[in-house]
Amino acid sequence: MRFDPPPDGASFFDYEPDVFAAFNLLYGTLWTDGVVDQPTKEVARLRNARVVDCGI
Amino acid sequence: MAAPYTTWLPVDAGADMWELVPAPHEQLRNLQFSFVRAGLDPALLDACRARIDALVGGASEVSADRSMSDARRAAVGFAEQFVLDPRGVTDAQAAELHRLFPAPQLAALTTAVATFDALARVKTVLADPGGTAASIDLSLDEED
Repeated sequence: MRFDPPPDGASFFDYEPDVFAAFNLLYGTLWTDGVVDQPTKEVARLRNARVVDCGI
Repeated sequence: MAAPYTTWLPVDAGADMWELVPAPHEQLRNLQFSFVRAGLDPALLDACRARIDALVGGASEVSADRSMSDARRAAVGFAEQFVLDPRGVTDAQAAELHRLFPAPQLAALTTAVATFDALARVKTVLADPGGTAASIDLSLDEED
């Protein structure tokens, strides 16, 4: 792997917990808040992931 | 000088589009500040964002600054490859990034590039040359 996680971590995000926390807070808000329902967001997420061949 | 941003969204002329989504706006600002707090140079981040904006926005020509430091050149090159094809990052490019940035900064830089790419796409998809003038850019300066 080009970017191994730290010894006590699971991903490269664990090198910068403050950045990861800020990212997760924003991601969570985008996912749970707003006028677009979650099933619609999930369909968009899946379509996006398929188009860019994302394995996550 | 770049033309003012205009959008097809039904906003008042001169509106700050982020006021439509106040909670994500504040969290996005905090995310951006976290990149600087991680030790990344704001000028380096701005250079990455400018290159991403130019590529995603369809600039016919992307200027290269020959006076860039090794770190800034590597970061901008990484940002450019991220936009064009993230699978195209080479082993040599990754090794150079590891040489120039400690792991925490490289984690922050990768997140920053992904964030700037997403924002550039949002900005582009909402743009309309004949639309309403509006503000959409975000500063890395915590005082703004």
